[in-house]
Amino acid sequence: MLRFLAKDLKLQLRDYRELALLLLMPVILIAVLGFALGGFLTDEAIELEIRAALVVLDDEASGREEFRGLLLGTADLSPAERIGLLAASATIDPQQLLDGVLFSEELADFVLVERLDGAAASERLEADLVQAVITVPQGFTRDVLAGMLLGDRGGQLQVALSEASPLRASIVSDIMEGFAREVSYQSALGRLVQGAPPTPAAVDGAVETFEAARGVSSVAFYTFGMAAMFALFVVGSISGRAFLEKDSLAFDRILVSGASPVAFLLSKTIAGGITVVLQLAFLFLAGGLMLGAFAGQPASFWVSVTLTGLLFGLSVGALGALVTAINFRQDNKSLSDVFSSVMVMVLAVFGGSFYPLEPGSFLARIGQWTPNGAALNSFLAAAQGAPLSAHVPDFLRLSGAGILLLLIAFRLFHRRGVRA
Amino acid sequence: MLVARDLRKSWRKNLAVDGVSLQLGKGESVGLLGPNGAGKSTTISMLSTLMPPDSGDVVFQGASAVRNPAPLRSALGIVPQEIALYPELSAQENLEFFGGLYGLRGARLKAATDDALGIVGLADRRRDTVKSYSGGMKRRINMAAALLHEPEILIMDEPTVGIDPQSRNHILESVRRLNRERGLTVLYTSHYMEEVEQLCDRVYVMDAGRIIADGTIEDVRSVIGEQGVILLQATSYPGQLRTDLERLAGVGSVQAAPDGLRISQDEPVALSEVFRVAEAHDVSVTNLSVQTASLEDVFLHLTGRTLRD
Repeated sequence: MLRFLAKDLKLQLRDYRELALLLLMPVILIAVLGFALGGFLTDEAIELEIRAALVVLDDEASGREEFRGLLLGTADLSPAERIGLLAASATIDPQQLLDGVLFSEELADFVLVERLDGAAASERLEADLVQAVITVPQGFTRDVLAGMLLGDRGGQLQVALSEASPLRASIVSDIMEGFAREVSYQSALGRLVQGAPPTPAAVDGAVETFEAARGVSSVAFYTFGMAAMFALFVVGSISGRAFLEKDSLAFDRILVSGASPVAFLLSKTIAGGITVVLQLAFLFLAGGLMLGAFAGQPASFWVSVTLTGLLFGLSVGALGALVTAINFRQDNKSLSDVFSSVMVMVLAVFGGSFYPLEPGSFLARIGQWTPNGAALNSFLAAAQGAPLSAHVPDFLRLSGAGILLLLIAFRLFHRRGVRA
Repeated sequence: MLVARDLRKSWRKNLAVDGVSLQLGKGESVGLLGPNGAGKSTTISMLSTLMPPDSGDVVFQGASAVRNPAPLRSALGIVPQEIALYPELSAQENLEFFGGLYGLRGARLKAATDDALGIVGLADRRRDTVKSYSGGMKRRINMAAALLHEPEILIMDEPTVGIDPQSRNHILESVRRLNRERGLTVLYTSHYMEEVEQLCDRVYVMDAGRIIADGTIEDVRSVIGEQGVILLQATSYPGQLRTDLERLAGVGSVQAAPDGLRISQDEPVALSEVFRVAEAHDVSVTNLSVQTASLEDVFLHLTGRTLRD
């Protein structure tokens, strides 16, 4: 196995034309696209655009009426206290407090909130047309007033988050947590957002939390985009070279030696994965050092990028093994050629390598299921400061695709080590 | 040592190998002759355990190699028709890779590599990449890669196609030496009958997937009689000339070969009779001679085609 791997890596490193394609071409494209098209895409940076739906089930008037009933039913209050609390409640509007955050000027550039009914909001969430649905439940006004003025448990907002856009969803969650902390600090509201206990001591505020999501410069975007695209060329490279081994009968010689064909195919997978990881390392270093793509990124960014790169390498290596297996069955390498000449471009478009995809759009929904799309999504999330947990869906897609492709590849490959 | 029993193999509806049986005794050098498409490579693939036969069996040392290929594989060295090496790697790197697959390590691998390079005469070019070699050198290193694990049987599939005479002689001489000095059993396929005549004790002649003649070289030659073959070379060969020559008493067959008309004899035929028939067709004869029958003549006699057709 190690002999196969050493041989495969040697052959890859000595293929200078292939190296130029894998390393030099993307660097040139990163520089050209990053600087030339950066201004075309956005002014300075590619920002996140977040869409959220607000569903209001609460009736303010009846909530206030119910609060009045609560006051009257509270035995340990004097009449004067009742009057005072009633007067105070008239000055507090819980829904207005929420609107003040969600429709604030600070957020207006980044978060688009639309008021919808429950069914429409669910549909749009399902289609990833909104990344979160914030529901103001029945009795919210009563509960918040009771919490603020009577020390009760307080009101709870319900926040449903999109699984398809975890970074954006997590930002909405952050906003709501910030809002809860803000209100809690001011009025000891208690738990406001379901499942997200506030920390009164840490009052960052919703807007501050959102600003923690950094923008991505066009150079950084294209460094990631081109790296994700050009890594796919490794598939054609690995599988095409493997077919030459069959065509030249070197594979026959390998089989006669008694070596395992499984080791042969596994070596292609690992060599492909290592090539991708080295390629990404080179491109990110070039983008970082020569073009300043990742200036000021913290260590957590590099951890996320490294993990994404490793899993992306696995999925590309597995794809290389699958194309190898199909080539061997077809007894030609036309699939490798088609992959390099057509499929890389198609996957790059769907994966969003050329321009940022609109969240929830058809391309974005398809693209997140492509290895390069999932990797690019994860790279961009890392650049925007997303926590490691926000990468989990992309990690699962990459590793799942890698394992599935590998299983199919081995199934298709001739296990007995004989020709068909 | 190695026996093929009634091997059959079809590709879709085409029968590529049709009931081939042959055997290799220990230390023998056996030729497998036939034109392109005769089924030689398919037969070799089945003998090498690379391709399962549709029916029939390959038996190595008394056991089926179709059911359990491992013992035969470890005893086998194959020299494929293509240069089955990595052009971007040096000769030494190629040999180390293939030797490693046979479990050779360290000093044993180095000794095996040195020995194989010495046999093919390329020790001084070991560090050059294979892609920088001439065609003949590539063929020689292709052979060296099959010798690393000191196989008992060497199967060579057209190992001298398209190479210069010097490399060709080197390969033939190396095989002869390995056979005689080390007792290596050789199965040598070629459509160059003179190579097989030089190298092999016995020969199998294949055409259209079947063995059409086999035995020692002399046995096979005797198929067309002991009188030898008359070669008629002339300025032209009208169709009727051939027909009239076939009508001569004692003539077995008349075949058009690249060098002229080759006339096999069942009974001795007078050259003057051949000359007379040629003159009757206004043909100017440039050469008329009697030659010892070659394997090419045997093939021509049996199939009406040359081995290079």
